[in-house]
Amino acid sequence: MLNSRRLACATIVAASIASGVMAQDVVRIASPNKVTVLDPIASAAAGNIEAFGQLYARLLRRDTSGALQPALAESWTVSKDGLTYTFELHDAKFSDGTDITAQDVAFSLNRVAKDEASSYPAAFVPVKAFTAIDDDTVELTLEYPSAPMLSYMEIFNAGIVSMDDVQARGDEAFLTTPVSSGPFMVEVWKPNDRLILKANPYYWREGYPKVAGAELIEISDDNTRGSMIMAGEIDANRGVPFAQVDEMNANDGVTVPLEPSTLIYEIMPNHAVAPFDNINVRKAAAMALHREAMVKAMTLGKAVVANSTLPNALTYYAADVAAPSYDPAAARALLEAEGALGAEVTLMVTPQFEQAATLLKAQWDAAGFKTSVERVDPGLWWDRLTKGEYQVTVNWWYNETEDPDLAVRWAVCGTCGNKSYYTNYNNEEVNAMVEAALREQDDTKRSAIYGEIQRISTEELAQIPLYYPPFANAYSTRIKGLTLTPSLQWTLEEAEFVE
Amino acid sequence: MKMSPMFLWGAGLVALWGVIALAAPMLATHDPYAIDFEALLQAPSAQHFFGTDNVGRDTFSRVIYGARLALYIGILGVIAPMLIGMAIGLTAGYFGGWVDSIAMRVVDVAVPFPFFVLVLSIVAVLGPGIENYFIALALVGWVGYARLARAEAIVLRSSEFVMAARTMGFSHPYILFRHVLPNALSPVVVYMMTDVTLVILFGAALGFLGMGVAPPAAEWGVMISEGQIYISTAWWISFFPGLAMVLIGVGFALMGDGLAKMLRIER
Repeated sequence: MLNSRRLACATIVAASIASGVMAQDVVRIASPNKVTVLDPIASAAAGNIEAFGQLYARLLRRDTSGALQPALAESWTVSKDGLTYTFELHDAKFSDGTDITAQDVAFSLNRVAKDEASSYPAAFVPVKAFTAIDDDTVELTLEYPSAPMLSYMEIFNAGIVSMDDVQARGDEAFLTTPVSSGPFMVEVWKPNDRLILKANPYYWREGYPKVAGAELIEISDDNTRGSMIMAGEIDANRGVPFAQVDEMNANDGVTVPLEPSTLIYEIMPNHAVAPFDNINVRKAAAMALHREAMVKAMTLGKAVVANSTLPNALTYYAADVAAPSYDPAAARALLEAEGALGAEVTLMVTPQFEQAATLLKAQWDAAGFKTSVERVDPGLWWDRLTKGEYQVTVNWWYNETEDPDLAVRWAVCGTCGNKSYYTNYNNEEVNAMVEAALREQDDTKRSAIYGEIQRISTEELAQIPLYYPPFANAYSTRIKGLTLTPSLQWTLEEAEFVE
Repeated sequence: MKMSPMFLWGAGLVALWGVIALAAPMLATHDPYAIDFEALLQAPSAQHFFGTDNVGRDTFSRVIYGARLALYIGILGVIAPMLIGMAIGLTAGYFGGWVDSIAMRVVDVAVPFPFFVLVLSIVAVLGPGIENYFIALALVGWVGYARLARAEAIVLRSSEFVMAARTMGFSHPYILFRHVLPNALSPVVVYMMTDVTLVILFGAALGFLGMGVAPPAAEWGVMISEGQIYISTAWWISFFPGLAMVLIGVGFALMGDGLAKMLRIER
């Protein structure tokens, strides 16, 4: 293994001397998140999102500071009424050497917006159509204005695929080696094991990627990934348990920078069934919890206690709203007043939330609930959640962009398709504000609307916010420039090995 | 019969665990289920002999209470397999013929299959929980007992006192219970001792995998699993339940070996 790697290394060094490329080696990233599909519209699961970014370039991209920059689109104009966007494309090629044309862009983005198989079209609901005006110009027309639309040209499923290839190969196009427009292309995909990538020689950004290739390796066990990075077998470890951050940081050759995320962890009561259909019972459930202490126990002080139903990394995040604070006596009194003392609640958790379950049960029972914990595997969890077959559960979500539009649609909107992250929270006033805020082009007014959405949804406890964690990923010090962005994208094209 | 020192050591250890389990409420220094946000991940000290876990529970008290569960699982877990195994084995050995053939073919099929894999699959189908573990044990654990009991029964059925009983006209059930069973018991009891250890270990393994006793129960396997990600920073969460498991296992194993020696059973 080591020998063949050295040999590969030597070959690549030789090649790079010959061609003047900076590429030196292959970056190996181990993650618990599985790559299950390579079609960018087919899934919104973390493992796939992380891979899509490497395979499919988008019209825009974010630089390391998070600002939007031109990518496949060289420039763009937006009409006064905010209904028409015109993108001028960069000269760029797919990994098979064919040109990336406006037809490809229109085809790819119309798939995301309109195709039945599109798993997450929420950002593109206002889209009337993407049209190729000529080979280098794409026009986007909207049914109604959408303030964050430009930033959606950068999200994980807005990647550009080859129209010719997809039409020629159909569903087969994404099964093994899709034609790629991003910094990398598939060398070999071994489902349930690893996705081996090599640099796309036709990538539009000259001089990138700086490495010859990358491997996205699936390893579910935290401890295994931990020992692998300490032993230098991998270059990045996705997801270090907070309990191991300090220890790993102390290790020579490994760093665990806590990177900003748009993650939020929260308790999700089902508003459609008793007892959490009652706002006072939800309040009692929140007041029963010493959330500060819980967060300290769960993250060892590495995360910020959440105060709002939205992640704190979002624009227009309201720092001044607050869920009810810890008061178990008041919680009990509230339950008594509602005749809900001794209310039986079943907490549904996945194995990841075992510690949370222990903490919740102890505190809820102390305040007068009768909690039982039901353990389910993640697949069943999702099934039961989406069918609304649960009373209360714990989970997390993240937002693709810093704009809160998708976030409010995901978490607190009862009419946006997923019933407030399947909690069945449905406040008509909030729903109306979600639509109004999207169309509002004035920054101050948008800010006010999102502030109000957060105030109401937090007061009504659409979910009980727990904490805002950073990403804790471990990196080998052999590599620089590799980070995970808040949009769950590895900056692999920027990564390079240091000597 | 001379007491083997091995047996005495083993019996002593097991008895000690029995006392610990019975007197758990008196021995425990803390409520094993009480979370304490002020005392997270504390190292062993005079306050917390075995330290505290990731929600501030006292590991010492949890290990003590864990002995109850371990003994409960170990002892209850071998009863059903033993009864089923004895019944099948004795009948097969005593009657022989087609009864024996059928029973032994079933045994032949079950024996080469990895025991734990079988138990895991059954629990996976039935759902997690200790009751289902017992069911799984009853379904697959009887095989070992059946083989032993059958071997004994084959020897005993042609022994003089059984022959005598037959000629005197006693019924088969009477002979089986009165004469065959008591004489076939000793190797079975010895086997049971080692089986208890296995049942405790597998029970803990299931707890560790999240398929046995459910958290927050003070069960050793569950505790080891809870301490897993803290193994390098707060080793005591997993170490002490692990140590307890070793000590209870050694106790039963010594007892079994000692007993075998005393009864001169070749194993």
